[in-house]
Amino acid sequence: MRAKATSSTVKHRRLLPLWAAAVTVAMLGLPAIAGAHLERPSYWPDPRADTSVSPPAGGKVPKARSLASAVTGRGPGEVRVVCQGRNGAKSLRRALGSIRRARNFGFRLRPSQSSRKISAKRARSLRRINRALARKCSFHSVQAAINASGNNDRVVVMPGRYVEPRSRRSPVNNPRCNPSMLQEDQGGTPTPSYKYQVRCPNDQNLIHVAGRALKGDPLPEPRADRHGIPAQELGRCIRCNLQLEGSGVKPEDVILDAGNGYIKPNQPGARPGGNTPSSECHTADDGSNPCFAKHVVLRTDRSDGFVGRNFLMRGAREHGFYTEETDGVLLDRVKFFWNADYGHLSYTTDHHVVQNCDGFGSGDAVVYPGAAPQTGEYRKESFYPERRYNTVIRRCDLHGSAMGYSGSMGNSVRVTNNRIYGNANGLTTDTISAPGHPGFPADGMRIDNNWFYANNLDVYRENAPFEALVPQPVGTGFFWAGNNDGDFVNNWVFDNWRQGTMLISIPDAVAGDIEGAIDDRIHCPATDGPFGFASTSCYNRYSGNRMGQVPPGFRAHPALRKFGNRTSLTASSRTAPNGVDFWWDQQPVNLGNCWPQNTGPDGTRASLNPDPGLAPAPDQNMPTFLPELCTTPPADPSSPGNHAPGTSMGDAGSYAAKAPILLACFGQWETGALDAPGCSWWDTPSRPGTAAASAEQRRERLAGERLAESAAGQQLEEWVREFAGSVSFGPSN
Amino acid sequence: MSSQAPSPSAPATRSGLTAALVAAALAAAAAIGGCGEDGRAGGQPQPQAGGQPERQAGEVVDISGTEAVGENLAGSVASLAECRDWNEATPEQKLATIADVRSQVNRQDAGISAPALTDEEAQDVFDSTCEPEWAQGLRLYKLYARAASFAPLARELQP
Repeated sequence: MRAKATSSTVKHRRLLPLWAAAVTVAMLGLPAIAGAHLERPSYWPDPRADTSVSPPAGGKVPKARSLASAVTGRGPGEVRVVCQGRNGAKSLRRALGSIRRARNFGFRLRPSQSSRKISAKRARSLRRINRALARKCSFHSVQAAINASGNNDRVVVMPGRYVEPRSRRSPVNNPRCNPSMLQEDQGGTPTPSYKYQVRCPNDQNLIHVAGRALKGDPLPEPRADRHGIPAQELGRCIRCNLQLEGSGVKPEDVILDAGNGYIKPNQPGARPGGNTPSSECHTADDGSNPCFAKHVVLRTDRSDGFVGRNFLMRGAREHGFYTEETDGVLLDRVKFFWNADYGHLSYTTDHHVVQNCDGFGSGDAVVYPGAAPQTGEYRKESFYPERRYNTVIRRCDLHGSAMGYSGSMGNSVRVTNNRIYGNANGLTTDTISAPGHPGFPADGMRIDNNWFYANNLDVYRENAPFEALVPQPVGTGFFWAGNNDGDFVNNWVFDNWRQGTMLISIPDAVAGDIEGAIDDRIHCPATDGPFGFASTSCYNRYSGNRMGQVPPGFRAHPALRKFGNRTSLTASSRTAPNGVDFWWDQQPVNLGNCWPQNTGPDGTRASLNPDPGLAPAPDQNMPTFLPELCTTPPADPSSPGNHAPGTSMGDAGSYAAKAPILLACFGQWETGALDAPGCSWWDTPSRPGTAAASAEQRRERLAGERLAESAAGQQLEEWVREFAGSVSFGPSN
Repeated sequence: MSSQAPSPSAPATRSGLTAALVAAALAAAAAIGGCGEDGRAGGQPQPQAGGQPERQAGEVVDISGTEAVGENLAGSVASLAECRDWNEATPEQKLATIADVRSQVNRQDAGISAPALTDEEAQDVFDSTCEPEWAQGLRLYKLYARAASFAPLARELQP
């Protein structure tokens, strides 16, 4: 239940009925924030399997069919083979060479792994399969093979680099579709509709998979409730349960390439544009671009049951892989290199797994599960009967980018067993992008058993290999910018020179309409006062993490220093401190956050270096110290008094000292009015433990003190104290 | 896209959150709804850019027919407009660009709401953020969304 009071001076809460708030919002027509990614009005697909096809599509994460089964003739579905050269000769040569090298010398599926040789048996099998595929080959274009495919079919791509000349010739903003097939949101803002993507599949995309037939038009006004794609526009399955896969030994053997201007284009890591500075990788008035030919490498739309396996997506002006409104997507053994925005982008997509992946060179993030379904604690149970993770990212190397992972409204996503290193910021999710991203506020995320290390890449330096698209605090392992009910557990976090982890609240002003894209309950209490609705960040748990400790068996692999990333890690490193282990903004009405049972560089609690600092004793919550006692959110979190005694919360004084930094750095707000010296986030900090690092921290501390003493700082503190003082959380605290 | 500059009203103040709500709503209505049927922007002082005559508070800025800057994709520049585009824009183009970005970012289609940045706020954010050489590739819509998320807090600190 959300409400907003009329004055911050009230000393007790006055909650408006929810309906009143919702109606108020609706009547006033307030705009909404959608930030990290712009998209058509999208809906979460029905999570139940579509039984109109056999086997049913969606309803679960699809299973990949083996490569060997592609040549046996056993169904279901037809197999179409794509190759290069006469009778596939060129592809077969490449395949046999790659098999030989993998047998003799081995290869790394991910840079952080050891090189492994394939067995003689596996090599024989792959040779036999590829020879059979070459005989079966009848396509030279991936898009053509997909166009010819239907439900349950498979497209097998033999080794080679596929640039799809016909797709490249398809113009952006094709007048055949633009503007006639643009879809308007309630405000009349145009976005490409599903019909646009179906009718002009290669306007933006090198390869497009339309999973469902066109039916009716979109609703004249998008429905506020995003559960279920409106029936009037949801066509029948036409390419559900499609599997697209490479037949090589490794993903790099098949390159789906939207890039231009390479120096050695067949080298998988080749950079689009060659030596062209990233600052010149822009589209000219005539539509040409020295680095990128298409905006998206592979887009799959409403393609329930899609499997993509064993290929590399490279060189997109925007995204490598892009799926939207899809139920059931498995990506296995895939790579995302040099895609200017996101390597992977899933949007309003359910039953989704990305595994055994590798990516670098993204100006935003390597993977981005955005607007993931609300399948968490406060889900709509009639639509999602079971609480579950809807998206899992596992066993991936996410590196060499502005962020390894990002995701606005990444509800109930699990991130597990990944290696996240060498980025400016390893992983961040946020609630900045509320409405265009259904699912506000983000909750239910679990991040466990990952390694976050050496995320110190200065992507804002001159002549960076790719352009950063978004400001991030360089030197950060993990950053929750607004999240509820999250678990960050059993991770190794080391050598991140600014901070290991960071938690802040986004001071959203208004939220409404429980029937819409937001949860009917929110873990934070409804509050009145100047923050309006403080909907994030509450009940996040950080436990069992090893901070500043290098895991046994860690290997300082070459990709660690890619693009000049800075690190203190060597083969013999046993410890590698973070600048700060846990940084929390201490927003005063954030309840339930806790950091129990974590250890620092020497394996003890005492060696942790958090901000706020450690309390004198563990397992308790003391004001102004790092909370270490977790409590369970109440059935009705909207009432502050319902929260358990001793539930942790922030404090006004600490927040007042930290908020100006957030405003200056995160919000990019006018620093002059705050007497701020500017933001220090855009450079790699000095290595922790050095004199230079101490000097930087001292300067930051002094700047904070100056801010706190300035007129604006005092105004802020007074405001925060007044607000915090008006609310009482739980019987005691 | 609209060629009209929206003109959200003044920022909310602490003295009355209901008033702030209404103000934001009116601002949003202006932003989304187009800003007057005469094709002109509402009365809001705009920051000056090189060589332009100083505008007076309340002066109407006509940006009819002015195109937003940045690569247009399917009817909008919002997803691709960058700082380098911003830095090369005329004052009128800047207003048109803000209008386009705002219309995409401050959507009305998902039952959730937050304040739009005023023209002046957006210009301040873009001007200050886009100045350094390293910032030329930053996407304007991302900057806008980040700043808007902290707008309620920032407005409290304005004189």
